[in-house]
Amino acid sequence: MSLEIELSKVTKSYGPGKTVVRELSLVLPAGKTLCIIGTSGCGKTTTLKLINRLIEPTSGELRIGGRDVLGGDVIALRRSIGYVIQEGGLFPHMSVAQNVGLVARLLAWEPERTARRVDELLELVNLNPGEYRHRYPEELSGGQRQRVGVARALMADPPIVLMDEPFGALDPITRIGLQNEFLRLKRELGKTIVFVTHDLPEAFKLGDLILLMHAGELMQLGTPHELLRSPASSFVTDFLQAHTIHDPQGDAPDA
Amino acid sequence: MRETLQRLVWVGLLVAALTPAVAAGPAAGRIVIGAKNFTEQIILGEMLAILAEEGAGLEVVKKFPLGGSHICFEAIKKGEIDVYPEYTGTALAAILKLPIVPDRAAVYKSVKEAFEGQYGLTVLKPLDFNNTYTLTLTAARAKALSVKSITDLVPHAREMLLGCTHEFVERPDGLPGLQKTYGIEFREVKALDPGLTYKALAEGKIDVCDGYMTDGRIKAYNLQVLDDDRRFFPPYQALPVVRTEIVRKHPKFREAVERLGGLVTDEEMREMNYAVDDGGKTAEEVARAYLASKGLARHPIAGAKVSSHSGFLAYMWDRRAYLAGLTAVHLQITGIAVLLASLVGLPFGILLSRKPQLAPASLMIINVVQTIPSLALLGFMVPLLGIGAVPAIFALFLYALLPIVRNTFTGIRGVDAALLEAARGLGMTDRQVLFMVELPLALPVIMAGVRTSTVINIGTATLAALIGAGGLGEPIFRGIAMVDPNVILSGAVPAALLAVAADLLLARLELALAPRRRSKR
Repeated sequence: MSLEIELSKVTKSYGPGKTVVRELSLVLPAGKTLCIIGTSGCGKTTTLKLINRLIEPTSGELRIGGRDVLGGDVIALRRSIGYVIQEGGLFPHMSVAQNVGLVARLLAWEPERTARRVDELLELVNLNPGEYRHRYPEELSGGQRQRVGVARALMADPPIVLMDEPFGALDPITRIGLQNEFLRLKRELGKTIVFVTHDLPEAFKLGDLILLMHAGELMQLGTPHELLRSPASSFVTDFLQAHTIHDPQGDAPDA
Repeated sequence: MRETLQRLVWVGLLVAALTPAVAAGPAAGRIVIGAKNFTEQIILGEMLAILAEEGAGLEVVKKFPLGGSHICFEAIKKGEIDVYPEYTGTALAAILKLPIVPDRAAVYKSVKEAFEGQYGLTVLKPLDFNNTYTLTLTAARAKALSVKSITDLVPHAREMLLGCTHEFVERPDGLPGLQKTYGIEFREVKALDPGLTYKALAEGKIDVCDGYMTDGRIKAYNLQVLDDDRRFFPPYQALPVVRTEIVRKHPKFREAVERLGGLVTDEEMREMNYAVDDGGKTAEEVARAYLASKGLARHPIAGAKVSSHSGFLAYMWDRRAYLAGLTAVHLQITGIAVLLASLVGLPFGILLSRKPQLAPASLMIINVVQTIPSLALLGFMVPLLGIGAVPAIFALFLYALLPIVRNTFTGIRGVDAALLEAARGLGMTDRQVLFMVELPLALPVIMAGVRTSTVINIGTATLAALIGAGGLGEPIFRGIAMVDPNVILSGAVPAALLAVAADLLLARLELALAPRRRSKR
């Protein structure tokens, strides 16, 4: 199951001259992955947190699956959205099983159902449940923690998953491994995913759509191919030129 | 009046609910005896106890040593002790603040009238001796300077260090009045515990000290008493002060104590004081021997154990039951204080972590309470809550508060912001964030606060003995008054062990409560 996300003219401001997101509108179709990139401080993480209302917008509308969610129950909303942060954001005083099963505990699932689902998810992220279930975050490598973080986000089978630079702190080899697994999961699960990264190759590798932001504003929204072929402004061109990007649709850029 | 009554009812309820073992307040057939914190007072207190037991058949509760005239008087006013020995001059000048007159009979009369008229207290016949204040210096020094009277001392005083009791510094019949009458000024004045002044003088650490005329150590240390040539000091005859209600209820007690009237000369009192301070006798033994010699009490049973101060451990073993009782009381007052402080401090620390803008001001206020010297805080409690366990627990509670509130606050604020965001992002309510994430992660810091509070409190609670709360401070202050290291140590060593044990125990508790961070492997 997956749902469409729609932002319309969403603004977040902390006072005059402190607008961090300005009049942002976008539609992310169900089952697609949106990667948000941009310079640091461009508002990409804020945009992500607007979606699960960790940050409340100053104005604008937010619809999920066509339903306005700004007036509704914020706790219920968050429990229906998976959330992954850098290094997994695991609770150090809870075991792997407790971390993964946390949302189930909040939703008061039966313990057997929780245990079954936890094992299923650990398998899904390639961690042997028998070996890892009872370990604590301190006893895991960075990559393993990230896998647990992903498993935790998927616990209640949410239609939407938000990921905030999940692979940012990992070494390149682990990161590439996890990116490949991400692509596999994306195919298998078909969730609507919003993925914040500062790594342009990562965004192009993982995203169906790319949102490039600068100073709280949308610079361009489109497929990686569209960004490469028809950049909306010189800013986009400059931004892309700072990196060497491989167009996932085939033709190498500027070749 | 209504307020006072309400307060009394509250205090009573608290005492009854919390501290059955240290409950204050007289019951039928029971008498609570107070005395101040120096040897002579303790001997007189023991005499009153023996007379009450044997002469009037009353059950005796000893609440001494209490920390000074002020505390004794407040305690008897509130009915928390029934009787204590006062001195005529002290009552006149320090308590009633009346003009000082030199005549014995006149002083006795004004004190009796004021106590009986204004305070519902009955003043029984005074004893004979006059334990007046004096100034003393070593005989050798006095001879070298050819100083015999206070007037003779005036020209030398500017180069001298006066060591005297805290009371002497403040009382109108002490240093202030002395300065006014003689125009005497010392280079420096140091306040010491009454048990320590002569020793300091004999060892040359101070030049002059205030003396009590009946103190045996004046002779023992070969000190020169200076003549009060301008007759400044009033007479200080020992004076049993009893609550009038008790006198009515127990006429036999009055009879027994009045037999002591006119007895005990200066010399006899001096010998008794000396026997306790330096003769290795206990105050109780000395009191009994004296009363028995006058036919006022049974002779001590022949062959009865005379206190052998040989060896600290033997001394401790002899008093194990008494010390165990004190340890229990000590644990009780600190335990209740820390428990109350946790019950208040934890929620308050949580509240501050939610409204951090309130934190600086709140923590500063609690901090200010912390900076009030413990003795002063205990002293403040006496007019409000009287003496005994309740004011002690309240004061200790205030001391315990800061480490608990501050550590709860900083512990919670110290939880990684990313984890809080993850918790909220997963859909935890504020309550769930607090109980599932913040408190478990802050627990080690919070427990460190509780441990700090407990250890500090076990030490501070020794001072509670000065306001009649009992506990291990009792032997410490008795020992200081009687200059007996064994007695001091018999309170200090268990208190120190208690602090260490409590710290270890709480460390284990912390370990048991702390959430695991590693798997069992």
